[in-house]
Formats: sequence, C-alpha cells, structure tokens
Amino acid sequence: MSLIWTLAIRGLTLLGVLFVVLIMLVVALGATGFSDRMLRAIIGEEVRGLRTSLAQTIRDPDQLEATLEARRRDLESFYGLERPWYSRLPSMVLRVVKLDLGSARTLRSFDGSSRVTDLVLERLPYTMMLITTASVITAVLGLWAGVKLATRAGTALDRLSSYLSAVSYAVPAWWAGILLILLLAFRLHLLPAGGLYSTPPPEGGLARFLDLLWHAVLPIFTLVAVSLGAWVYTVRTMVLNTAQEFFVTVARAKGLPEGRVMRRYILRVASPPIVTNLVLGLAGSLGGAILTETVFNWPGMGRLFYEAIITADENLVVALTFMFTLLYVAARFVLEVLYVALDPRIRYGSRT
Amino acid sequence: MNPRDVTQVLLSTGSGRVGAVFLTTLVLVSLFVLIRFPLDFGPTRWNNPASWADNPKAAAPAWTRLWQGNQAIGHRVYQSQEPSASTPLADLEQRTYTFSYDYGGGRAPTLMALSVVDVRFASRPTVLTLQVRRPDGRTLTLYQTVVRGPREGETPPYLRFQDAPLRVNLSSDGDAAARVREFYAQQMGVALTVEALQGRITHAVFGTPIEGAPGQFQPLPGAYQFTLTAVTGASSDVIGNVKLVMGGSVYGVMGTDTLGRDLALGLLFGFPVALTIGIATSVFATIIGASLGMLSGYMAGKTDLVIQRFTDIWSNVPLLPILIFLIFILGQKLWLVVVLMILFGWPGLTIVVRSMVLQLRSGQLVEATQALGASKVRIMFRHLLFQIAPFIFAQMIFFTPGAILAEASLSFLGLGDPSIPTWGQILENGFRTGAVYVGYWWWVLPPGLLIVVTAMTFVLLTLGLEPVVNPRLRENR
Amino acid sequence: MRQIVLEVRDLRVSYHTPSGDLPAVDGVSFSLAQGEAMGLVGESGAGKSTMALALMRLLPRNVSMLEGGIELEGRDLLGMDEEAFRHEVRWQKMAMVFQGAQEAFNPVVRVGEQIAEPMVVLGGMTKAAAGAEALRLLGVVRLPGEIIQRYPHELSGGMKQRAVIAMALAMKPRLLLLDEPTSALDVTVQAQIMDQLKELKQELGLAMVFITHDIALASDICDTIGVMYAGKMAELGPAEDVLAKPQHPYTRLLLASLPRLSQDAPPQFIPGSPPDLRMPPRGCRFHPRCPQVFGRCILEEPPLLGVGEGHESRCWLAEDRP
Ligand SMILES: Nc1ncnc2c1ncn2[C@@H]1O[C@H](COP(=O)(O)OP(=O)(O)OP(=O)(O)O)[C@@H](O)[C@H]1O
Ligand code: SF4
Ligand SMILES: [Mg+2]
Repeated sequence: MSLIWTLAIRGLTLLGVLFVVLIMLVVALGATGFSDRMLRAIIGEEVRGLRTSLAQTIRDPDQLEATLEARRRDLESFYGLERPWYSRLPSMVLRVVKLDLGSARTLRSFDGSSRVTDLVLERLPYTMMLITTASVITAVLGLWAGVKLATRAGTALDRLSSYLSAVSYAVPAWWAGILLILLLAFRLHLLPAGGLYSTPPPEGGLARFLDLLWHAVLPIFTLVAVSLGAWVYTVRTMVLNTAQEFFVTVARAKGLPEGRVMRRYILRVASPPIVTNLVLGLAGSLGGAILTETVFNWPGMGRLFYEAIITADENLVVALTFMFTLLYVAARFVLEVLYVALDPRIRYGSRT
Repeated sequence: MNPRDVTQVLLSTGSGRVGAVFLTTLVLVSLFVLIRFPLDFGPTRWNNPASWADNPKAAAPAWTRLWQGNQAIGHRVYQSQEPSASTPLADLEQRTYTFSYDYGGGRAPTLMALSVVDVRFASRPTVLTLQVRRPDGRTLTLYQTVVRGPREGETPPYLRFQDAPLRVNLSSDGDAAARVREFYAQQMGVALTVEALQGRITHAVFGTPIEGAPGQFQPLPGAYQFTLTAVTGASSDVIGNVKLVMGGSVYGVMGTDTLGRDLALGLLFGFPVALTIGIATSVFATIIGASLGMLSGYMAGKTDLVIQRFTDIWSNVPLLPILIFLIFILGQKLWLVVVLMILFGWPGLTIVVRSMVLQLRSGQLVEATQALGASKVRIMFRHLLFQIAPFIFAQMIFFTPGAILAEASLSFLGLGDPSIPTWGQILENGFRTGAVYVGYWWWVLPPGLLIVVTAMTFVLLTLGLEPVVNPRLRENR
Repeated sequence: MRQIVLEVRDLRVSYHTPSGDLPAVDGVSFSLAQGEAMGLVGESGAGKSTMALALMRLLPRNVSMLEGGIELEGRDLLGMDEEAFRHEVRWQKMAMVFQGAQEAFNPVVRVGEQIAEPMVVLGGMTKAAAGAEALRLLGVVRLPGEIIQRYPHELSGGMKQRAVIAMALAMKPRLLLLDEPTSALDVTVQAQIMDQLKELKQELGLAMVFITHDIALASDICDTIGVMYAGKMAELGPAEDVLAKPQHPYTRLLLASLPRLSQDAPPQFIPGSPPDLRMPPRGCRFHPRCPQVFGRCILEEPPLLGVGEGHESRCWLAEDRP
C-alpha cells in the first residue's frame, strides 16, 4: 500500500512539474502576444491552402474573396482569437501537449515535412541515443572508478580525482566539445567533427551503422567527460560513508569475503543515495545534451532547439521546451521507481 | 563562527588559498575594467564595426610570433597631429607627413588604410596625396583626393570629416589598384590585369613582379617611406589627425576576431560581467532559499507543507530548456537571465536549510530560548541563522559558478544580451562563424578558459569551506 | 574436567589518536572453559568492547598496537593469516553479538537472508537448507518465523536484539561474545533474553563472554566475573566470590551503586570519573577515586594479587591478607 502511495506522491509531483512548465509556456506565450501570432500564422496557412483549391471551382474573384474571408472568420472564432488570450489557456495547453503547433518557419524534416510534430519526433531518437548511451557509460565508469577510489581514500590518486571532478563541474560541455573538435578532429584528424554520417554516407546497413557510431564517439565522449567527475565523486563519497556503517563491520565479523561485503553491504546499500544523485544530475545532462548536439551538429532535439533559436522559430521553441520537460519528467519517474525498488525502507513503510 | 574564523579556516586549506588568490585577481581585474571602460562599451565600441575597421581580421595574438617567426607580420599604426615638414608654396602651403615602414620581406601587410580626421579650410579645398618611396628608389602614388569644396550657402571655415573620418582602405580600393597598375606599367614595364591585383594590392606595393608568373610578386624588403602631402590654401587651415595603418597578421595580446575586434578588450569586459552575474544570482537566490527554508522548518504544519510541496515541484523544473524558452520569448536581456536564475535557483537551498532547521529545532538551544519567552521570529533569526550561517555562506559560494555557467550556455546558444559582451558570447561568435573549423584557437580557447577558471575559483572556495560546514573535518585535521 | 576454550594472555591494544596513543586494553589475561560464561563488567570506556573486537580481529583502522596472545581451542588467533581467520574462525568458532544491535543489520536485505548468509557462503549449505536453519534459530530466540521475510526496519528493538543473537548462533560457534546484548531494552524483554541465553548456554554448551556495565546482570548468568577498570583487570574471580566477597574497592563501589530493593540505603554513585587513558594516574589507576587510598597506592601500581581460589584483585589492600 505504502509503495503505491509513495510512487503516487512522486508521480503527482512530477505531473505538477509538467503542469507548472505548461502554464509557464502558455502564459508567457499569451501575455507577450506570441500565441496570437502563432494562431494567425496557422489560419493564414489554411486560408492560403483553401484559396488554391477553391480557385478552381469559384471563378468569380469577389465571391472567392468573400468565401475565404468567411472561412477566416470561422477559423478565428474556432481558435478563439477574438477572445482575450487567457480565456484560451486550456486549448493552448492542449495544443502544446499534442505538439499541434503548426509548421516550422524554415526548418524541414529529412523527408521534407515542416510540421512541428514531424520534426520533433524525427529528432527524438537521435537525442535518446546520445543521452542513454552517455548515461550508461557514465554510470558504469563512475561506479567502477568511485569504488576504486573509495578503497584508496586519502591517497594522492584520490585527492587528484577530487580536483578533477571539480574541474569537470566547472567545464561547460560545449566548450569541452569545441576543444575536442579542435584537437581530435582538426589537429589530429582522428574523429569526425560533427554530423551523423560521413559525406557521402557509406552504402550498406552495417557500414552505415558503424559510420553513425563513429560520429557519435565525440559527442558521447563529451557528455561522459563533463558528468563523470560528479558521478565518481558521489559514488566515492557514498561508498565511503556506507563503509563506515556498523552493519558492514558485522558482515565482516560473519566471515563474509571482502568482495561480497562490498557488493551486498556497501554498494547495494549505497545505491539508493547514488540513484538520488543521478536524479539530481538528470536536468544537467539534459542541458548538456542540448549544448553538445549543437556543438557537434548532431541532429537531435538539442540541435533543433539551437536552429529554432537562430531562425527565431517560435513554434519549434515551444514544442522543444515542452518535449525536453516531458523527457525529463519521464526519466525522473523511471529513476524514482528504481529508487523505490532499491530501498525497502521506502518500499515498505515509512522513511526513517 | 564569525567571519574572521571562517576566513581563517578557509585560508588553512590548499584549495581555499588558491581560490582566494583567484577571487582576488578576478575582483581586481573587474574593478580595473569598471574604472577604465565606459559602461556602454557594448553598443558603442564592441558591436560598432567602425571602431574596429583598422584592425586586421582574425589575427592571432602578437606573441604567436615566437613560433611563427618571419611568417607573421606585426600591426603598425602611424598617427600624427603635426606635419613633419611645412613649406610655403607660392600663396599655398604644403604640409608633409612622413611615416617610415620597415618591411622584412615576409608576408605583405594584411591591410593598408589611410584615415584623416577634421579638415578645415578657409577658401581653397585641401588636396591630399599619399605616396610611397620604395627601397628600389621608385615612388608610387597611392592616393589623391581633393576635399569637397564649399556647398551652396555654406560659410567658411568649411569643416570636413568631423564626425566620420576620411578613410580609404588602400588594400582593396579600386582607385589605388588603378594607380598601382599605372605604376607597374610605366616604371617596370609590366602590364598587370585587374584580376591579378584583386586582393593583392599590398603584394604589388611591397614587391616586384616575377617574370613568367603574372600576378605573383617577389617581396621587396627594406624601408618604405610613406608621405602624405596636404596642399592647403592658407596656413590657418587645419588638418586634425592623420593615421596610416599597416595591418599585421598578428595583433595585440589576444588577437582579433573576423570583425577585427580586439579580443583582449572583450575578454576584459567579461570579468565584471561574469562576477556580477554570479554574485547577484547567488546572493539573492540564497536569501530567498534560506528564508523560505527557515520559515518552512520553523513553522510546522500548513506553512511547512505548502512550502515543501511547492519547493519540490519548483526544484524539479528542468532549468536550461525553460531558461532558453523564457529568454527567447521575453527578450535577450542580461538582467532577465539573472532574475530567472534567481527565480529557479532557490529551491535547492530551501530543502537543505529546512532539514537543518528541523534538526536544530529539536536542539536544546532553541528550546531554552523559547522557555525564556523570546518571540518566535527572534528565535528563528537569532539562533537558527547563527547556527546555519556558515553553511548558507558555503552554499552561496557553491551556487555562484552555476549562474555563470548558465549565462555562458545561454549566450552560447545565441541568447546572449547583445548590448553586453560576455565570454559566452565571444565563444558563440567564434563558433557560429566557424572559427573552430578553421583553427582560430585564440578566439575560442581564452573565453572558455576564463569561464572555467572563474567557475573553478568558486568551486575551490567551496572545497576550502568544507571544514567550516563540516566541523568533524575541522577537528580531524 | 574444565576444557579450556579461550585463553587470553597479557593482551594490549592501543588506539592512535591526534593527542597521543590511548592504551584501551592494557595487559589483560583470563581463560574460559567450555560451557562457562565470563562476565566482563566496568564503566564506560573501560576497554570492554575493545577487548571483544580484538578477539574477533575487527579492531578499527586506527589501532596502533596489538600485543599479547589469544588462543582459541589451542590455536593462536593473532598470528593467523587474515584469510584463514576469516574462513575458519569468524562466526564458525567464535561469533559476536555487538553492542548496538539496532544497526547490525543491512537495511536493504531481508533479516532471514542475513541470518542464513554465512551458512551458504561459509558452510556450503543450499539456500533452502540455510533458510530452514534460520527459521529454527529464530524459534530458539522465540521469534515468529515470518520475521525471515521482513526487513530490519520492520522489527522492534527487542526483536532485532533477538534476531542478532539468532544470527550469531548460525554457524554453531563454540564461543559467543555478547557486548551489552540487552542494554537498550526494557526490563521484561531483558529478562526474557537473559533466560534464553541461559538456556543456550546449558543446551549447547556454549562458552560466553558477557560484556555489560551492569554487574547484577552479569551475576545472573556468569560463572566468573572480571571487573575492568581503565584498561586493566581490577578483579577477577568466581561469580559468587566476587559478588559476595568483593576484594577491590572499585568492585565494592560498583556493587554499592546497584539499586537494591531489600535495603533502605539509597544506591551510591561512584564519585569522580574514569581517568584519561592517554595520561593515566601514577600508581594505582583507581587511586584518585578510591575511598581506601593510602600512601603506597599513589607510588606503586599494584599487581593482580591472589585473594582466594581463582580469585584475584589488583589492590594493595589484598597484600595484607594472609
Ligand atoms: N576507534 C577508536 N579510536 C580511538 N579511541 C577509541 C576508539 N574506540 C574506542 N576508543 C577509546 O578506547 C577506550 C575503550 O573503549 P571501549 O569501546 O573498549 O570501551 P567500553 O568499555 O566498551 O565502553 P562502553 O561501556 O561505553 O561500551 C575509550 O576510552 C574509548 O574512548
Ligand atoms: S590499590 Fe589503593 S587506590 Fe588502588 S584500589 Fe587498592 S586501595 Fe584503592
Ligand atoms: Mg563497549
């Protein structure tokens, strides 16, 4: 019972986050007149489409204009343009949620569509690929190195790594990316500087896939490099803290081998707080993805975000802000479930 | 702990000391900039192309000559208010301005520009001629103009080039090209095509033709004497300032960008901006966060619950996307970035301070004070604040780099405030114009490095403050 | 015939601290036979837990000195290789119920698993067999079997204490070290647990070291009692003798401090506090607090002097006796 209750509370909080963000989006859009402009653009587009199709059937230009004007007025009242913006809040929220924001100004999807939905959904997998791979690598490396350092706490290596993790916190992802491009792509010609595939892309499924991986190396490396420091430091601290717990001594007293003590008594117990930290770092890695994609011209949602800003494409900016929030909330929830699964103190009964 | 003790503990650690040295440097540079730079440096200087016209474009820092050797050529600016010689010439007066330029024979100057400011004449318009005497003894006339005569209804003295100078970029001027062609035809017997001189005027001026290779020039090293001759109608006529620029391939301490902007100036201006962003954001976010945390922790019940729920939601808003969106919609203003960072930055502290207050509240100190009958608010602020102040202070320092980094990220995404140059914006310019891809490292490395060092400063200070926050560490050392 | 299980000879343990070395156990010797229980009593800081941890070889990292001899069934424990000690002695020959049982369990692993774990890992039992054995052990300490499926935070303090005892019995050890196994519990639960310990002692023939600062509690179960003061054994002897005819002034004070229902006199507290072990007083360590102190006590430290059959006292007063 309490398990469901705990998860429900977390879920509600996250829904609250989504709601707050949505409200912020539509209020900012409404109050600044952006939403009016967006709607007029949608209507204008529709009327233009109508004109070309009607031009064949209605020959009389006056009648055509009158019909179109009537249609425009219909649409305007349908979208509620004659009412003040705040009375349109619910319908606006709905449109943002459905990414039904009309079309992008200049950007096109790979198959030529300019619909915001198409564009965003098309880019989503590339972003997911980058974020998930980088997160997994960071987690594995972070765990390994964190545990290693915890067993060597106080040594020179340990102190060095705490400084390195401070540096990794202070280095912006995008700058690190630029450095890597300068060094590895332009000085040493080791790796491609950006993009998805080589030009021309290699033939054949496997070759293409390998080419994609080859292009993903630098972006992923960048993402890992800027978040690894914090990870290592967290794991190390949590492991050290847990290792001082009394039950670890008891486990040793029980004659259990060191490896088992580390796994079951230290890592296992330290994992909920490590997950908590992962949760806290999530927003950061999402932001990191936006910037890294921009630097490496990786055609995910982050790069799209940048392009939307540069071309001042309001519809896209709104859609992407929402999508990133959604992505964040979803990932948060997965981690919350993981956290609850890892910690029986929450799974059953109250937090102590 | 009082501030003196905090400082003492801070300075007792290695990272604290390094952080303190860095911070002092940052503050001193910022103060220097605030005193020396105009506050409207952004719009009037940095983003005003006219003020950088005479600089070489995308030039590496001057010190790269250490390894570039003869390949690089320095930037020369000759200026003069007074003529080197003045000779009467019938009823006229001839003034000459002479500049000597030593050409080493490597790269030709990247730019050759003449500017004249503030010309006044009483009756006859001034005639200006620029000639250069080459090491081979030949003299080449590069430029000649007659200052515009009186307009209808204009009364003497006639003022010219008061607001905007007379400026000719001889290295790309069509008239100058024609004169060079004439010079080559008459004095060397070489007919140069217009194309051959395209973008190579300086090569021709500082070289001799290579036979069989039209459009190629053999550098002619030696002393070049540039003479600007001004023929005026009266000795009372004025020529305010004469300036001749021989563009280098390297420039200044930090080089220039593709607009010729002196990067050193932009980077310097970034110091106070970064510090202001960081400190303003962290101070206000800390004040809000700590107050709400204390309120929440101290007032149990409804107040606590409401604050807690709200903080929980607010702290989970993914910062960067929202920041991008709001700045995009509401406008690219630096103050707005700071306000938004404050608005989204406080919840973390609220959560921690609340739990600390809860711990302390059960402590005897507050209970004892309560028994003595002190008012609730006073207990809260006197005792609790006193206890958690060092911690809040450390949190404030820790929060500072976040704000600086966030502003840099926004700038990098093209959402910087155009009226205030920042390190992030310099980097963004470099990135967007492809500086990364053509290897203009001096454009992208220093601003990034400055961001990192500034952020590191506060991280180091935070590390140094650990013993203040965590008394156990203090004793064990 | 007494079959000696544990023999401790002149054990010394010092901790390294920022303000100098701290000899927490300073030359303690005793022996323990099968089926026998020894009570180790003394004020807080006397070095009781340090002694137990030294037996288990679980001393914290900042130990600066560990000397003396510990023999378990004739095997030298201190000289043993760490891996062999872990593999052959810990929990199988000698188990311990730690002071602070409330934190002895891993919070994220079920209690049953934690009890059964050494049987699987060290004893090579199947999980099912180990689970059944864990269930049986819970029965021994009078805990309901369903506890096996519970997480530590779902158990009350008393339940945890019993579960910890069950866990210590898992490998059928010959020697059980009990470090204040009941101090956090209320009197009824304490009495129940003491009864169970007595049963275990009789039925399994366990040797026990029972650490407590409650000398009355020790007298309930122990055959011999050792009174520790400032890292040294102050008095050691058969339980009845020590209780009935305490020889050391400190033991007498300890006994006098017990609340007794039958007497009208209120319990007396021992004045003063234990010495700082980094700078122990010269002569007898107890002399600053001793009501019977005399000249010699301040100059010379008394050795353990025989005062009866297997009864010794570290006090100059004992010398006067025939
Ligand atoms: N890890 C350690 N580092 C330094 N000193 C220690 C350490 N552990 C214990 N001590 C010191 O050693 C002395 C003996 O401690 P010990 O825990 O053995 O006492 P105890 O008799 O078990 O007391 P209690 O009845 O409170 O459990 C004490 O003075 C204590 O302060
Ligand atoms: S030796 Fe002296 S001081 Fe020590 S216990 Fe005996 S009488 Fe007291
Ligand atoms: Mg103890």
